[in-house]
Amino acid sequence: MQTNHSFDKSNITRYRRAFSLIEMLVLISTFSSISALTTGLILLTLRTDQSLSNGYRQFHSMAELGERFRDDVHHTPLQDIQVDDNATRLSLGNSIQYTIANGLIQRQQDSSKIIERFNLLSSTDPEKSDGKFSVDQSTGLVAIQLNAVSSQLSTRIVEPTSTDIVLESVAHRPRTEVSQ
Amino acid sequence: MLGSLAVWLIPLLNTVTSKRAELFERARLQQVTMNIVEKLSATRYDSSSFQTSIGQLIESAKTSKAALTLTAGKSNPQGLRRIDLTVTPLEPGQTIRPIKLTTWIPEATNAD
Repeated sequence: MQTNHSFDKSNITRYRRAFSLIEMLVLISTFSSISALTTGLILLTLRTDQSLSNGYRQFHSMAELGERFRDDVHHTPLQDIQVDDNATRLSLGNSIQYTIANGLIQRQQDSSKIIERFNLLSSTDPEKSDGKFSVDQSTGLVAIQLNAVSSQLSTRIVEPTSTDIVLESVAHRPRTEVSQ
Repeated sequence: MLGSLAVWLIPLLNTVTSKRAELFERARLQQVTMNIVEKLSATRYDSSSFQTSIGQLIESAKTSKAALTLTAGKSNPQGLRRIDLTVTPLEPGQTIRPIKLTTWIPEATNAD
């Protein structure tokens, strides 16, 4: 009896030294599922991070453009502010020009040759973005009307949404003109 | 464990993206507020015509999907009238805090 018992034990030990094919298949499929889920979550997190970075860049551009634009308009007499026929170029005196082209708003200062670019429109799809300048000579209101396209990200899809943004500033007339 | 992580992470990412949309809306509202301030800076405070310009400002804010509340305060010794602005989003479901701003506009004089 004693001998039989020890024989059975050694048999069991020998049997446990390796995994069966079924166990291996279960392990491989579980590992594959976990890997796929983990990769998906990592990609989702990266996509969200990229979307947030683009978003912050847009907010920063919007605030900076608003500040620059209003400051420039305040420093230019109304009669020196002109918009071209396509409403895509705004000239503030001889020194500063704003243009809308290729999904970017560009500010160029002739004296210092500094070019600033503001990415508010969709750079990936400029056709879907739109922007124009306008000047109301009677009220002195100078405006940039933008149809900004931003990619709104959800966990399932990335869909572009357009938002109308208007930046306005009032150009002050010179004292002589006001008194007339 | 991974399932619980996914259950926790996906709502978190959704919250992050909705916060991004809120930030964009807030940045847009800030520009709407600055537009109103710009237009106010070109007006003079007097009881008769000020109401008309306020009505126009409220209408222009509505076209920008924002609700505008204006409160005129007391004037200071320099002849400037205190105006308190509150701009809130018009679209329902927006949880953005109202933008509050104080500006000063000159009182109308006989020369105006």
